[in-house]
Amino acid sequence: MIESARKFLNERLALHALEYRVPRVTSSVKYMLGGLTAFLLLVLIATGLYLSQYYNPTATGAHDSVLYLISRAPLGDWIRSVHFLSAGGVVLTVTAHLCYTFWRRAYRKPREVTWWAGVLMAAVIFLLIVTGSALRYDQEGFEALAHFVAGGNLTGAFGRFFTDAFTPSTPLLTRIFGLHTSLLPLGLIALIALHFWLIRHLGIRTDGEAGGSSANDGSGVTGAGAASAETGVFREHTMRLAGFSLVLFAILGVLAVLVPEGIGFPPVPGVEITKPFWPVLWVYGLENQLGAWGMILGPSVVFLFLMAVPLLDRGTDEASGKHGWVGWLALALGIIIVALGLYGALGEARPHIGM
Amino acid sequence: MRNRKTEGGRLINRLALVVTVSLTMAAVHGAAMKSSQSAVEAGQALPLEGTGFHAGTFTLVLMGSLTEYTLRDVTIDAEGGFAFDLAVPVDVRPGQYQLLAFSSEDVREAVMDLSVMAVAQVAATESHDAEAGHAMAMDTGASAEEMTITRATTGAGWGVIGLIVGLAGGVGAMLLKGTPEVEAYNADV
Repeated sequence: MIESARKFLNERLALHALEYRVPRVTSSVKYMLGGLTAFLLLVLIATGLYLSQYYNPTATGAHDSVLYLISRAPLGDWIRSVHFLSAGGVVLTVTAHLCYTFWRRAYRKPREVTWWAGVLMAAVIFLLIVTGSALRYDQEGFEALAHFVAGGNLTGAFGRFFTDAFTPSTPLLTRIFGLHTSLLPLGLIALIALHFWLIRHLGIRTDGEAGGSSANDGSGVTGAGAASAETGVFREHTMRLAGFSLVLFAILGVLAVLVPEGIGFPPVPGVEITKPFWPVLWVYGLENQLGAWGMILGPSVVFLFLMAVPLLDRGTDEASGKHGWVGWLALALGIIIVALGLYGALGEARPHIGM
Repeated sequence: MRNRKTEGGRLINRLALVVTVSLTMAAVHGAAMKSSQSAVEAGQALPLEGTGFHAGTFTLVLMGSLTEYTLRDVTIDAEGGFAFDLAVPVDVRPGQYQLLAFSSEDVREAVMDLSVMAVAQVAATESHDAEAGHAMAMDTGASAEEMTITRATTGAGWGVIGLIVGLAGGVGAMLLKGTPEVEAYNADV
């Protein structure tokens, strides 16, 4: 019965295309961080679609609609909490994926574009986090929105979209909602498609790969290590990834029951008294030191460094972890980000944008 | 059986008659409210006019998605209208509302959309003294704390959540059991 169903589906959905070979090592969690990120993004899209049915993206209706979601919409409270926890989860998985990919130096030839697509995805996820935190439209959300305006004013023509001067026809909150629910997800999906395409055709760089410049021979394993690599099948990798993903979803579901996401009081303009969502705390810490320019400079420096990594690491030693000075620079940046995050979290709340 | 059908038919006919008469009356007198403003600050007055009402007294209610405020009674003049400045209480939560006119029989006679803005939005933005503005905003309720909310999930909701979480965890564990991890090789060659 199951076999005939499988055959039926295989014939019609060309599932045999998933039977290509991949390195055995991809059955470990560290090689599934990207897949887990993709799964959490799917959860975010699904829960976000539900939330958007109840959300009112106007200054006068947003806060009430979130309260409605929490207190009256069917499963609204739980779905919103899953959405919030998945957003935090994505930050963790994408950061871990980025760090492990960096450690393996998988950005080297011929995978520079794969890396750049990944860095762009991380940037889009960061933007999704900050636009999403504005939508709650409590005091924290309002201050996030005010930061968009302040950042937009600082960057002149580049940031005009984030100011009320862009158009009088649509409120800023409504445009941020549009950005969060259409433009950024569409960009993310396009980047994911490119990322997956490149991984499929260039293969995964494993610890056993020494010749990073070799093209994929079709097995999904590249380089001199390919000859000695045991290979598995992508379908098995996907099944195991599905297993991890579902267990992760169950954990998030339980956490959403135990620690449901709340909302602050309706916003009052003129004060800056809240701190942002934890993934943005390091930027908040930087703003404590540099003022409003911190929110532009910090993320820009990190983004530009990550984009430049494939160009900077020109060492001839192919092994993982042998980055030379680029590795030390990355470590220093990482330590600074963690320190700024702790400073932002533990220090007192300060005004940055002169509201 | 036949009698029942006849009784049922009569009941439907009567209901249809009541509905038709009500709709016709509403269409004939065409009660409507309007204002020169679509938004008002809490604590301020809204110029309001009503036309096409039948004689009597009406109650104006401000209805939001979570809260409602009974504002005042209105006596209709001889021409079936009214005009006055409606005071919006200072404690009305900022948000989108419907302003409803209910007859003494509790029938919804007229409705209009209305946005209520926070009083502090004006007070805080008009202040050029940062410290005074901050103090004013804090006095008008600015808070970094979270609200205490009665959450929606019911018994059936908990059941659905339990089912989803249980299924996800169970199927996930089965898939992991069926696809064991293969020892990673570390043949750095």
